[in-house]
Amino acid sequence: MIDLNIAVNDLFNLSPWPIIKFFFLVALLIYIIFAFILVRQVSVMDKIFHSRFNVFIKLISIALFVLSVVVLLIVLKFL
Amino acid sequence: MLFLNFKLLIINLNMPDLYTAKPTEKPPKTHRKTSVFDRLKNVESPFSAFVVKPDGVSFENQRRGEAVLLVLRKHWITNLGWVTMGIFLVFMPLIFVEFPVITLLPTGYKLVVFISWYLLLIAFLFEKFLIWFFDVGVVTDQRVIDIDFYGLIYKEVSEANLEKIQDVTLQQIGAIRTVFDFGNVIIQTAAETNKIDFEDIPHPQRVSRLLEDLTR
Repeated sequence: MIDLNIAVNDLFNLSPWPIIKFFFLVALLIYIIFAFILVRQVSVMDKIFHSRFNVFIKLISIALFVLSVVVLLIVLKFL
Repeated sequence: MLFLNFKLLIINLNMPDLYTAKPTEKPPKTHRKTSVFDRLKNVESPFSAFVVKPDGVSFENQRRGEAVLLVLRKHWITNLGWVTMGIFLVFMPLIFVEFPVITLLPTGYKLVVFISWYLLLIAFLFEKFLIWFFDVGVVTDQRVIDIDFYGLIYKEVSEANLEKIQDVTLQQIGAIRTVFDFGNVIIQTAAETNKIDFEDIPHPQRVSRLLEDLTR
């Protein structure tokens, strides 16, 4: 039989930070997927309409993707 | 009498021509279009909403020898809403830094919250910019093309040959549009796409005049 008092005590002593960290990781994973879609979308847009400036836009989208991966790694390592 | 007529005929045959009309050559069809093209002042700025005769611009299904005369985007003033919101959101964490929920967080979590905030903000601003930048109207010496992006995953490309253009309507409604000289140019065509809209483009009168010149 589980002692209800111990269970309640354990629940209250449970640290919320791992749960918060988990939610951060899920949100960042979603963001990485979004950033990847953005890179693909910029490539599609470039194919439809190409100008000299598109190279910079592509670089920005790739930088955003890399940045989101870096943030995910930071959260994994330091939180 | 017969002799006299014969003599006159001989004289007529031997007389040099006083005036000979030169055969008129019809200028090739592209010549008129080139003259309209030449009258336009070259605008090269990549962020311009009214790019004239741009270099290094191409689009999907561009025909060989097809020259891009105009690239049209929405007037910059239409971006004022999201730009203002972006500036406001940049400074938002400075307001929230004193909120109790934030102050309770450990330093590492605080940092991640701020980084996440700015990541979201960059994504929001970049997406808005992309939609503005790639939502273009293109006028070439052969046709008009309207490339529309509604969000990042929905695109619509409509085009019509210049010969199929039936009517060009100009809409400039409201004080802001009049002051900043932007509006809609609606092109009625006999093509599969019967209407092409260039929305909120700068100098709509110049565009409609150019289209009329090109189709005349």
